[in-house]
Amino acid sequence: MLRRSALVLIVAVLMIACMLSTGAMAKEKVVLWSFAANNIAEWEAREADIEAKFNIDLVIEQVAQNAFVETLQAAMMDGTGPDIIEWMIEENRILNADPKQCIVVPLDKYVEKSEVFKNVVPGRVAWVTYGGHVYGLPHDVHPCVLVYNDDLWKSVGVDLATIETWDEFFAAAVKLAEKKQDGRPVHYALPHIASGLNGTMFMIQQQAGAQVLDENGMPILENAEFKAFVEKWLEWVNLGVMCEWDWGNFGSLFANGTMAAYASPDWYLAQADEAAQKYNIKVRPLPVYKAGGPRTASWGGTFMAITKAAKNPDLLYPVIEYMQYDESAIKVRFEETDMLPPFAGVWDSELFQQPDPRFGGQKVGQLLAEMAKEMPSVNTGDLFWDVVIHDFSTQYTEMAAGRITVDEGLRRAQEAAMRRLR
Amino acid sequence: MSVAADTAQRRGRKIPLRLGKLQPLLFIAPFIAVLAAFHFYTYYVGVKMSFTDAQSINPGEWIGVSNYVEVLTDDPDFWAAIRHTIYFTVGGLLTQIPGALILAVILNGIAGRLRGVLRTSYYIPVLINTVVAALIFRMMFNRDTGLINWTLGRLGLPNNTNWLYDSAYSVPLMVAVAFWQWVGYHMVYLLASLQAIDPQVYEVAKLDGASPLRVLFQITIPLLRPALTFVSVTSAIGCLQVFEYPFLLFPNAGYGPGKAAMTAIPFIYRNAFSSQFRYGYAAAAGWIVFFMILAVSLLQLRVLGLSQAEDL
Repeated sequence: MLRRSALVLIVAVLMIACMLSTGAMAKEKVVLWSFAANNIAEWEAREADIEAKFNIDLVIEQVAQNAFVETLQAAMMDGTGPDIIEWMIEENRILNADPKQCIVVPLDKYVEKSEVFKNVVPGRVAWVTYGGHVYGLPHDVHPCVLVYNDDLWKSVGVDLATIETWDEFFAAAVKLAEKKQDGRPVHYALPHIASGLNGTMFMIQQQAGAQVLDENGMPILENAEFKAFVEKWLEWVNLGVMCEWDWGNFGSLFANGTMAAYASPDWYLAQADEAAQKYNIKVRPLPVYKAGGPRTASWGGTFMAITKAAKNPDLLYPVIEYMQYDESAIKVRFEETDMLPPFAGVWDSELFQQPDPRFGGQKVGQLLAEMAKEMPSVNTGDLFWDVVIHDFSTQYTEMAAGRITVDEGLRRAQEAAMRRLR
Repeated sequence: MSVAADTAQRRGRKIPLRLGKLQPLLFIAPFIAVLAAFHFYTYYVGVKMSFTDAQSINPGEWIGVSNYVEVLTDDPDFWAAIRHTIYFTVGGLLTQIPGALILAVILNGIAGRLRGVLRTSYYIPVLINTVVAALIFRMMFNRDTGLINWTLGRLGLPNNTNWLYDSAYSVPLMVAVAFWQWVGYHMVYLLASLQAIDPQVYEVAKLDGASPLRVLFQITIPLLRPALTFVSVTSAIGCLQVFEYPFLLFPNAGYGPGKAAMTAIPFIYRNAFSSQFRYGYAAAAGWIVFFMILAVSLLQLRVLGLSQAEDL
C-alpha cells in the first residue's frame, strides 16, 4: 500500500514537473536590445510584470551606444538579431522609407487600430515616420527648457526671467562674460558643441524653423532660412560667450559656475542637481528665435521597434506598447528620470504639477508639459542623420574657423548630401 | 612487428607513433585551421564582397569592378583620406624615429639606475590604451576647458586656439599624440641595439679624434640600420592604418574639422558602418588601401636596404 502511494506520488510530481516545463517552453523568448542604461533600469524593474502579462521570457541586453547600429547590422545578417530594439530617435540610421530596406518592420497596421497610440504627440511620431510608415513607438518627448544660475546672472544685473529672444539673451551674455581670468571668461553663458548641428545649436535651429530636409526628405541645405540661421549662430559663437564641454564634465562646469545656463531637455535636468546645492537655479522656457516662435525644441530620445528577426510581430506590438505607454509606469518614469511621457492625456495629472525643490519650487513638470505642446516640427528622412552629422557638420567647423564662407560651406554640404542620392 | 617494438611492448611501454613527414604538418594543423577560418576565409569574403553592391542587410549582387572604379575615380573623400594618411605617416616618421634615436643615444650615455627609470618613463605611454590616450588629449586640447590653453594663458601666451576644431591643426595634433605615445616604444628597440654595439668601435673613433656628430652619423646610425629599418617599417604600417586618433581625438568621430582628420581606415569605416552601410564599397576601398600599404612597405624595405640589414 505504502509502495503504491509512493509510486502515485512520484508519478504526480513528474506530471506536474512536465506540465510546468511545458508551460515554460510555451513562453516565447523575446530579446530586447537597448543602449540606454536608465531605460534598461526601468525595463528590468518591470520585467516580471511584462513577462507575466504577455507570457513571454523577456531577455534584456544592453549594447554599447557607439557600436549599436554596427552590432545590430551584423546580428541581423547572421540571423541572431534581437526581436525588439530601443534606439535613438534622431540618429535614424536604421530606418528607411522603403520597408524592404529597413531592419525594422512597419507598425502601420498596429498603430492604426491602437487606441493608446492615438494619444502620442504627433510631433514625436513624425520622428519615426518614414515614407508614410510608422516604424517605432517614441519613448519620450524631451521638450527643452533653459536652466540658469540666477545668482550669477543677477550678479551682472541681468534677470533672465525677463529675456524674450535669443538676441536679447546673447546681448546679456556679453555682460556676463566680461569678467576674465587669463584672458578667458570666468563665466560662460551657454554650453556649445563645436562639432556642428548638435546640442544648443540643434535646439535653436528647430526653433528657427530652419530645415535641412524638405518634406519629402530631400536635402535643402542652401535654403534661405537655414543659411540665415547658420549666419546668426556663428555670430553668437564669435561673441566667445559659449563654452565647449564634455559629457564627463558638464555637471561640474555648471556647478562651479563656468557655465551660467544651459538649454536642457527633460532628461538632462539632473545635471543641475549639484549646482542647486550652491546656487539659486531656475528654469524657464527657451528664449524665442523670433517673436511669436516656439519657446522650446527637443533633443535626444528613443523609440522602440520590432526587428525583422522577430518571429511574431503580432505578439510583440502589444508588448512594446505596454512597455512604452503603461500609464502607471510612465508616471514612475517621470518621478525617477524627469522624462515627460509622449502622452498629452496624462500631462494634466497631479504628478506633473508638483513643485521641484531643485528649482526653487518651480513646477517643472507643468512647464515641460506646456512646452511639449509647442514643439516645433522637424522634417526627417533617410538622409537626416548623414546630412546633419556628416555633410553639414564637417563643413560647419570650417565655417566656424573662418576658412570658408557660409555660402561655400552650405554649397559643399549640399553637394555631399546630393551625392548620397546617386 | 620489429624486435624493438616487440621488446617495448613486453616491457609495457607505449610504441611511439611514427608518421614520417606528416608529423610536423599535424602539429601546425590547428594553427593552419585557425588561419584558414579567420584569415583566408575572411579575405575570400572580403574580396567577393568588394565586387558586389552589398549594403545594410542586403548581401548585394555582383557588379564587377564598379566599386573599385568609384573609389578611385569618383570619390574625392577617398583621395583626401589618402592625402591625410600620407601627411600623418610622413609626420609620424619624421618625428618619432629621430626622436626615439635621440632619446636612445642620450639614455645610452646615462649609466646606472637613472637609465632604467627614464626608459620606463618613456615607455609608459605605450602601455596606455590608444583610446584612453586619444580621449585624454581631447580633453587637454579643449579650447575653453583644456589644460593646454590654460597653461598658455598662465604663461601670457595666446590661449584661444581651437585645436580640435581648426583643420590646420588636425594632422599635427595626431602626429603630436602619436609621438607622445610611440616614441618610447621605438626608443627601447634602438637602445637595445645601441647597447649591442661593441664599445671598442667608439674607443677607436675617439682615439682617431672623431667628433660626436661624426660618431653618430658614421658609426651609430649605420650600425643601427637593422633596428632603424624595423622601427621605420612597423611605424609606417601603424601610421598608414591609423584609426583611433582620427576617430576619437575629434568630437565629430572620424573626420575632424572639414574632414581634415579623415585618414584611410576611418574612410573605410565610415562607408561600412557609420553612413549608408555600403559594405561592398568599403571592402573595395579596404583592398585598395591594403595594396597601397603593401607597396609602401616594400618600397621602404628596398630603400632602407633590408638585405643589408639582414647581413648585419
